[in-house]
Amino acid sequence: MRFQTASAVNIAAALVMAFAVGTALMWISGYDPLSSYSAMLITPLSDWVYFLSALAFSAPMALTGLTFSLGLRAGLFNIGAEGQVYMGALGAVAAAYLLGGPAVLPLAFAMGLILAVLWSSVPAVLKIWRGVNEVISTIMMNWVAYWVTIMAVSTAFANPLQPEESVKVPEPARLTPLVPGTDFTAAVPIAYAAAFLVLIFLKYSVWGYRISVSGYNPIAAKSYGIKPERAVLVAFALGSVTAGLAGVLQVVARPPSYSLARNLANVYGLGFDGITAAMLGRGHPVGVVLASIFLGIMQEGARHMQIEAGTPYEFVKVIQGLIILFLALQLLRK
Amino acid sequence: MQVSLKEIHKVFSDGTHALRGVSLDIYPGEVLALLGENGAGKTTLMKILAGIYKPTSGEIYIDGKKTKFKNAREALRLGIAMVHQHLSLIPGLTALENIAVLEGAGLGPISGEVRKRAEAIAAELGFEIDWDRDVEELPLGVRQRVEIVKALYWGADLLILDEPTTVLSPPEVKSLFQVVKNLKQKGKSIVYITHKIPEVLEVADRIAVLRRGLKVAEFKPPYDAKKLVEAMVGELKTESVERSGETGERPVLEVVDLWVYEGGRAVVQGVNLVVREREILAVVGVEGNGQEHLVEAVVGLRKYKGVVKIHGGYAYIPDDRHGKALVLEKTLVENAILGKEAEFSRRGLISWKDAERFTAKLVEEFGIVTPGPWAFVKQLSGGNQQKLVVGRELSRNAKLIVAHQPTRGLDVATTEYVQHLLLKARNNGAGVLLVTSDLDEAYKLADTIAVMYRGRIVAIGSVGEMTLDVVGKKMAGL
Amino acid sequence: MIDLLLLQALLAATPILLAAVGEILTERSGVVNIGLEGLMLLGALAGPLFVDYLKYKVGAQVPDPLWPLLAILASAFVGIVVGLVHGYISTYLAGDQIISGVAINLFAAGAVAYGIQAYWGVAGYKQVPDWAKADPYVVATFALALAVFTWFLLFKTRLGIVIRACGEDPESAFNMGVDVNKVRLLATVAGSALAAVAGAYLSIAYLSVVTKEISAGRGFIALANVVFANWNPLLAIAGAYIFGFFDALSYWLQTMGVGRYEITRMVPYVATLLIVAGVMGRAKPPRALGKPFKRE
Repeated sequence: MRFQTASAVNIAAALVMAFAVGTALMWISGYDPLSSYSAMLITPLSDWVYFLSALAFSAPMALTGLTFSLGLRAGLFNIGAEGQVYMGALGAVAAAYLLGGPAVLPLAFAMGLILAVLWSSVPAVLKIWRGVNEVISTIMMNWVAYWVTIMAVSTAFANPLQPEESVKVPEPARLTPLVPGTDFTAAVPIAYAAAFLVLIFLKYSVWGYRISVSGYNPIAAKSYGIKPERAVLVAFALGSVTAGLAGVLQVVARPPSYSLARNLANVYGLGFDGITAAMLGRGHPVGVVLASIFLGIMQEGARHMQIEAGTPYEFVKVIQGLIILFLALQLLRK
Repeated sequence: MQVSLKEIHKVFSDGTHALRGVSLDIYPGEVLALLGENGAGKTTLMKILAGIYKPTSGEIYIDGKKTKFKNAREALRLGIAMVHQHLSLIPGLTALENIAVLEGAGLGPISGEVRKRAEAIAAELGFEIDWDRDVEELPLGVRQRVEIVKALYWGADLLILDEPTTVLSPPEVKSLFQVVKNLKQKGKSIVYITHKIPEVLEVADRIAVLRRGLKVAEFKPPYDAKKLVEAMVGELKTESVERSGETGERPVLEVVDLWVYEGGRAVVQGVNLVVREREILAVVGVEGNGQEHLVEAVVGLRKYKGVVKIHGGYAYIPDDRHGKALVLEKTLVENAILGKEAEFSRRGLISWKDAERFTAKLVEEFGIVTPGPWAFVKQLSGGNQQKLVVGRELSRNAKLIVAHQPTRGLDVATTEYVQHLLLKARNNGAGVLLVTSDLDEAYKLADTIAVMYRGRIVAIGSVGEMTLDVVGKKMAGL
Repeated sequence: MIDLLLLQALLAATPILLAAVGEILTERSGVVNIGLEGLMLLGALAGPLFVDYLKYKVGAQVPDPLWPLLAILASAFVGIVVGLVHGYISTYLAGDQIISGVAINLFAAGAVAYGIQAYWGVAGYKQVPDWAKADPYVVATFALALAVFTWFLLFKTRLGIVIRACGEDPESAFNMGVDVNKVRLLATVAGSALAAVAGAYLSIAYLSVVTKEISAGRGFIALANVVFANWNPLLAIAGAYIFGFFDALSYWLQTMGVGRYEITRMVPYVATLLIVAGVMGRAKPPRALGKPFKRE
């Protein structure tokens, strides 16, 4: 199976239609569309602090968007980023629990990424070994990850001082804001750099080439010595690295808490936002970054919308769902 | 029903010119045999008559009236039904359900009327059919009978049977001939597509022969089998291609007692083959006798039992270039390095500059017509796509070249060119395993000819020993 | 205690059965809808919201027993609308069925969270009042009957033959006069309506709340059940019951104080993974599943 990506015209049309339907929805539920949209899209651009905050929102979405994009390249519909984000965050929290001082930081990355890769290996192996559809297996793994993480955060890694969150990353190990007074930490440049590396990987590396060939035509790949199973493994593994990175960064580089909320609020839904970012970004790393910035602006704008226009925060998710729906309307399967 | 096809041309979207102006009349109550090699255009012509393909140009007259079919349904409504070689019953449905689909949707069960009529038609033809079994579980011969009943249930006046005996055992073949005679007696017209000469001798009232998209001859009884063969395969051109150097001693491919299974059935049964340096070994046979499985086992696409030894690497020109050789959505450059991407990379990164240079060389050397090396392969014509595949594969400088139907669907000039390239590779020391159903090609290129029938090599010998007469007989299992 | 567990399993099985039976109908016609999860969510919100609106904002006078029925119908209506969109994309537009399904899930997640907030002004959690509640055993019985009926429809009627023909070999079906895209659209609409009703069951009969995560993966478990049942509604009963059993088991273990709550909550998902991995080898999907039918 191969999924066609959208053209710029498709995307523009989807945006217009989604915002049009959104207008109707707001009007029906008694909110003011004009001031809502203005608060959602203009306010974040009106102030540096807001904009940097929008970029901070974009970082994890860009990373999970890369997960989904890597899957698409290999012909996979990998929606397991959500659970892999949890695992990344869990690894970071475990590091904070095990050690103290600056050493927590490298251990957080190591443990988070290892856990995420291990998590993704289950659907990858099931796919190769038993032909289990990755849509079902990754969703199930997401739910298992959800409960594993919640359990860990509320037991072993619980914070005795603050019952609503896990143990905190010690101060010397934190990636604090690069611009004081904002949420803009090293997470943002790290995420964009990851996108750049994925771009290089897809465009220039032998394995990027092989993944892409077997995504388009696994039989041709096999005829000339490329193992499609390996391409699946590589796509899953690399995807889980970026997703895991998103989870780690949400813990070590996200003020103010530098911990994992007990209800997972600071990681919940990031994996699915990545699907939106990947589709809007046409599965291309640069597109994914641009799309995640757009989504970040919407998310930052959602706060302002709720305050300025009284429209519920969740409305941005409605708009995002509509955008993908209108994209699907235009995307034809080859 | 009287049908006239006038000057039918068909060019497929990949550029294959399958029919080059064929005219044909079909009269009521006759059995017309359409004889020709694989790829001659028989099936394409009949699919046009059955409304499945649209002709590129040409006209169809039914009982003197000019007719255009939008789809197969319209042809059916006029009484033209086709029984396909790979039968087209809907799997997962029972035999009766396959017929009842016609009745349309409804909340009720299948009416007793349908069963009664179907059973009556079957009884008249002497068929015994288990109507309530999933058609997938029925033997192929029975499935074919279901298809025939289905066609008659629709009220077909003209029945097209496409290679009907490929799926049948010898006794079933016999009773099929009886069925054809019965149908004729009822005034039905039958078009019998085949490449098997003994069969046409048995059933045909008239024979039309197609070769490479043209009708080359028509025959009426009494038939001369030798003339039929000549019309079918064309005059044998003797050694028009340059060949130099004797076959060497060193083997490049050794196949020992090879068995390949599919769905529990042994489709390759104990094949032994050796291809040596400077040798083209042509494996000929009617398609579906295990050649495809043999090739795929040799290149490692299929599991097998037995021994396959390749000395000095191999190049692979598959039969289906879209499905197996190319990624249409990618560029020439990306396709040119398929299978040799590691050679173009340093420390895991591909040098697209080198790849582009290599592609430009292929384009020039093999005369590939393209807007440029970064054009998408789907933009190329079928012939140029094949040149890209052949060019890429020959540039591997492998000792063994596995070529499976390398010229199918190509125009005459490209066919000649590809054949020339294979021969040149042989002269330069490579061994070629050529699997083809085009006997012209086999005789033109081969040093050795092997005939494959029902998964076995039933005859093998030098081109000199293997006369057309022998090969034809062996191919037909005689 | 054990018999209670078995009854609980029946109730837990019902939403999975409803959605799976609907999806079997859809997939037998050749369309795949991975938006079941989203449809459940939308259905869970639509029913309670509609009757609340009717009662308090419109002031409609309705005999009490009718409220839950109206709620279910409202959910079904939403399912039909979404099913028309997905069906139209999947048939006449020959669009991408997987992306469309994902879009339904994403949209529903946002719309339900937004809807709860916008209508009731609470964040993601709303109790369903007693007057709107349905008896879960009635719905469970209905679901069982529906599974049997769907089996009958698919395998014993002419309509069923036509539906299966569209899913196995649309080209041949078309050649025999079947309007393939119309059949597929209708099957998709019916399947979507059932998934939405499954959602209504969750909110008004089973859990008595509306939350923004009420479906909790059940839509995907239903998809897994379709594979497990080998696209047969009768086997889907068994499958749903197995999945439901693990779901109920997790609550049962919890009330028994066995194991940690979070571990028992994982049971249905792990069980689903194992079961799907176990049956995958013999699963035989309709041959034309997910492939749009285009006339040249």
